[in-house]
Amino acid sequence: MDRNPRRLLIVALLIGSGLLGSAAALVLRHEPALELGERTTLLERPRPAPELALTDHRGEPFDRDRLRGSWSLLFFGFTHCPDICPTTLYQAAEVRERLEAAGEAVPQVIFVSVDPMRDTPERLADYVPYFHSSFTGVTGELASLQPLLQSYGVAYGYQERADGEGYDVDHTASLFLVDPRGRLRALFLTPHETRRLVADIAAIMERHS
Amino acid sequence: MPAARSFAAIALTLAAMDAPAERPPIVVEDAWVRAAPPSAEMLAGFMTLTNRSDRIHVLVAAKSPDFREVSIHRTRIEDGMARMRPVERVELLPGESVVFEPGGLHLMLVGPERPLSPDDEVRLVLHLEDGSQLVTTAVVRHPAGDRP
Repeated sequence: MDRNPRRLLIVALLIGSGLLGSAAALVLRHEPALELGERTTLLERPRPAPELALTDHRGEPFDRDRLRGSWSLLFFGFTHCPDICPTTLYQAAEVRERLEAAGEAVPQVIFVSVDPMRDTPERLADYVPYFHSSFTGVTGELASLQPLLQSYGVAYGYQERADGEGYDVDHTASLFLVDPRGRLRALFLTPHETRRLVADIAAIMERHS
Repeated sequence: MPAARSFAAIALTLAAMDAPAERPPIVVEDAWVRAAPPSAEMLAGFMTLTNRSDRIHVLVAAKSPDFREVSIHRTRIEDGMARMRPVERVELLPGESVVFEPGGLHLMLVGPERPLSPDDEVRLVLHLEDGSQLVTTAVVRHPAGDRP
């Protein structure tokens, strides 16, 4: 039992000043919460990207420095994907266009393949820039992809097709917004609504730039 | 009242004759194929099917001379993951429409026989459970810019 009044006082002061400090921090940092869509998640703690040793569609190395210097919007998919990947890439192009027209910052769009067995850099070069010439396709060995997939919580699985036409890939269809310091800031769950994406991405970029 | 009855019978016959000779029970509207990179092995086709008849029809298969393989698929989102699964039967209820659209029900078009560009047309043959077939033309185009 600690009955030394002076020590108790110090403890009380420490607790008191700690509370005051937090209160001050709260007041200083108080900003109205962003009104985001229900499928938009803003990370309380931005998550730095892990080391990356991947390759882009031009055959250039793609490391985590490529996620620095501008905002980035990432999507994970595969080029043999008939529906959700083109749907999302067309939407990303539309989002990009609308942000540009509104005079907002324009994130670089990066398509990361979770099917590197079929998605070579050459194949990505034929596929990804079709949706917008500025889009970047990224591939690499599954082992090299793993740290990024784990950090972002991206899941995937291969499904044999009944018609003998190879396999399909089930995959997380969220979009990931990365800040200019290469840190994951927000994610957007499917189904994506273009108008909502534009509004939320603009609001988050503005708040955290 | 035999006279009135025969009059009604004549009216019905006339009504039947008035109708187009082969009014299709299923109407296909806005059939389109989403433009994809020239190297794309997999494309998706969309359309609206309306059952104008008074009985259920069931779409069981689709084929196309312009693709190696066609199947009916649905994209499902489960736990944030997109999964595509084959659909065996699409039931078309009387008076109702079924919409094939991006992110949902679609025709998976595998292996185009030639590179396809916007404004190209492809033929789709829809097979119904009763053995009948519907032939329609789908135009290749980019998604409409009026998405939400």
